[in-house]
Amino acid sequence: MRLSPLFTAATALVASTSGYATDYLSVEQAQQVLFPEGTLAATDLRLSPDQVKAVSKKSGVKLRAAAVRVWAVAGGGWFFVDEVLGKHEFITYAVGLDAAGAVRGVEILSYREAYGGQITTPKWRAQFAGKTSASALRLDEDIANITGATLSCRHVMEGVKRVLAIYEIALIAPGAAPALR
Amino acid sequence: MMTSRSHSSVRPRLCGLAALALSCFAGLAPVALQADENALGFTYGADTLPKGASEIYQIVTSRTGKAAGSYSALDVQTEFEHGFTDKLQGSLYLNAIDHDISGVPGTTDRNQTGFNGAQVSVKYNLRSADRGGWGVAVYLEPGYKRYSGRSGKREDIYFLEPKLILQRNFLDDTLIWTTNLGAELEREQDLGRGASHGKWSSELELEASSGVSYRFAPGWFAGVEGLYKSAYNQMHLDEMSENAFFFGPNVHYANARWWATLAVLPQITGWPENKDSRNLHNYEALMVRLKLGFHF
Repeated sequence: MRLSPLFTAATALVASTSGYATDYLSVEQAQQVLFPEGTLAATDLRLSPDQVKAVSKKSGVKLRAAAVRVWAVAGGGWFFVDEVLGKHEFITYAVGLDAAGAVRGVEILSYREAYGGQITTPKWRAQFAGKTSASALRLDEDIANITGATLSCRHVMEGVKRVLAIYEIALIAPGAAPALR
Repeated sequence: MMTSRSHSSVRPRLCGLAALALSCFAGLAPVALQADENALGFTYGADTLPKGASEIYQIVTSRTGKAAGSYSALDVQTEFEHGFTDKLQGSLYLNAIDHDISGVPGTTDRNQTGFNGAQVSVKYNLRSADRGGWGVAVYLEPGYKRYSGRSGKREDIYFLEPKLILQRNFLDDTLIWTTNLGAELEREQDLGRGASHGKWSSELELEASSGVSYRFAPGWFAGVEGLYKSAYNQMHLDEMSENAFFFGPNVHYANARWWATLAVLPQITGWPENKDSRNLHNYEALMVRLKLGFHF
């Protein structure tokens, strides 16, 4: 019973959690940044179980849901919104692909971690430009790591790799059309 | 530096102070910056702070329960931690200790609170588990204590604690496994009033801890942790004097500004046993640790 004041305080501490978050861009704002001249149309992309397996195998990253948030850009190109695990919270990011499937840009929509805010800087994100599904994307080789945010860097990098695998397997591969309902 | 009060007033006062400190931390949360992670109560992770980053921790450990009588000890540590390079961090600890002992065989009754010395530590990260694969770090902690943690008797204790830290992440980094292998070399002088006043002695303690922590929701982790402690007279490995094994659950919450970890470790078994297969002479029946960390 003597510890009860400590636990009461701990409870108050946890209860005071206000869900601190840093939201940098909305989905619409990210679309404007990556495709300022484009017209985007939301698609309803749901991967088949085989496609889920194929994407996971190609990217080396687990696909958490079969439903993919992707917009088709008039005249060519795709806009994806995805989430990866940070150290504590999910990191929400957007990837723009040009008509040829190369990364046009990466935008961080929401980042809530203690360290590694540098992943939101244009310099770090610019490393993804031009990458395709054929790119290896290795930490410290293709994409620079940020000390203190290694896990966030690796997960965002792997997330982009996963988006590129989805593009190849579910959007342009022969027979991929049924994925778009 | 020590204060002695009646049994009925000291512990509630100390707990009240600790509770106030925690509440203050809660109040400060909106203006504090960000936090690091310490998912287990007694086992350290392999990561270090980035260069230039600093954190402050408040660690409160309750140790209660003996074979007979009433025993309660509270260790309160305030730690300041700083990243000197991206792989090397250092810490400074300031310690306080409180004992409330009554009717425990072989131990003098006392009710006291006092400043319990300080220590520094350095941790060097050889490899981060966040890159995939094993995370490895080495840790060294020299320090000075003013009281026996068990009896509360006045002593001068000089110690050196090296540690090897291993970490591996699983399940897309949602399951964290950490293991520590450490030793504590102690050189202590009895400053009590008995016949052994002024006498120096040495002791070696070996400690192994391991635990897993699983992220079940954003920011929330839960897991289990085991801690094995053993002591050897005069640092002779063939003269084990006691050991104990603790095992229990932990819960951890973290956001970008602060984190908290609560670990509850009852003693499962110990030697030489004096009650229910446990060693409640040298160790306690239950250890509860609450850690709070803030980045600034």
